[in-house]
Amino acid sequence: MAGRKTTRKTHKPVIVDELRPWSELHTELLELIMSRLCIEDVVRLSFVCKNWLYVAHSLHVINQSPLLLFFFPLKNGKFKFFDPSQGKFYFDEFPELRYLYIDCSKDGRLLFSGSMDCMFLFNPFTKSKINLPYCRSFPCSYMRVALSCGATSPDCVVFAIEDVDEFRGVSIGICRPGDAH
Amino acid sequence: MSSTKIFLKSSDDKTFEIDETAARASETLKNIIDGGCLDGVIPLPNVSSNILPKVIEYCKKHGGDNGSSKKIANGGVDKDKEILPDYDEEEDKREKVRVDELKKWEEEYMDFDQQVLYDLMLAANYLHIKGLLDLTVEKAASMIRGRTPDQIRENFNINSDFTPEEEEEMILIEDEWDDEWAFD
Repeated sequence: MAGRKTTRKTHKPVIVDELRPWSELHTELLELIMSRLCIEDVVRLSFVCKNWLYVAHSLHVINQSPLLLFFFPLKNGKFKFFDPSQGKFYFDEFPELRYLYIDCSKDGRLLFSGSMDCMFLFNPFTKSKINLPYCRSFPCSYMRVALSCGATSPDCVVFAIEDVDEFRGVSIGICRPGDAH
Repeated sequence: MSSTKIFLKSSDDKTFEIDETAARASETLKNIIDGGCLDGVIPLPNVSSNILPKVIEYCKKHGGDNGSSKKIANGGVDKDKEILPDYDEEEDKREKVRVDELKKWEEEYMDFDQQVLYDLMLAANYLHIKGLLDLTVEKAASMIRGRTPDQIRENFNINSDFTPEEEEEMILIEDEWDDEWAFD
């Protein structure tokens, strides 16, 4: 009981009148707060002010637990994400991704290619798209693609290997940011 | 427990007394004490006299007792319980009562507005008091969870610094978000 009495005595006088600059809260502390929130809350938080938007943008992909992705190219480019930490499903739709296939993913970006002459990296959260030079020699050949690191890194290399046919063997294509298309 | 007294000086030049064992709840103070640079009074230029008693109150409760906050984090469940056959049930009960009492204390302790929360969070960060930082960060997170941007601004007294055009765009994105993303 003695403990409780002291609590009352000491926490009553704490009265602070001025406003506090929450919008300028140290990035480190804001990141700590965000690490305890789920993705919807981080998105809403990023609409509060410019500084929070900036911090949320640079962080939410890193602190987010990995999402499981289901992609349905024939159903209007429908995405289904599953967040195992929250037990929730999220849905989104990108009609421009119809009939395309995911070749690989790295750090939140997906590499899409189709039988037509296109190949690009796509981030389903920011909807940003990076076009890549098309390297496929034959539309129906068998191809595998890999990224060395996150697509926003200047060191990122896209490596594609394609099994052309039994006479010409395999063809290998490499491109990195800054290469001429 | 008798212990050496330490004196802390707030940013507005007021001096507060704290037991050395309690002060050790703060990593920063612990390093100063262990470093032997203790020269009577420790100045804390980042902590005001409004907040310092609140910080000291937390340290008094948790000083020299680092296990308590960990027990809370585990929900008070002792992992060794299944392994040890001669587990002391009485001890378990006492532990549970202690944890419940601590939770209740924390609830009362954390009953304040966002201005105090801001200062206390900064002080906990500056003084490296992990338990207090966890409590304040969690309180701030709880003021954001499930709220709209407007409600969050109101909770923290933040003015939007987006231009009207940007605001417009935000509303569009929010609407799109509501339309396109279905949450179970």
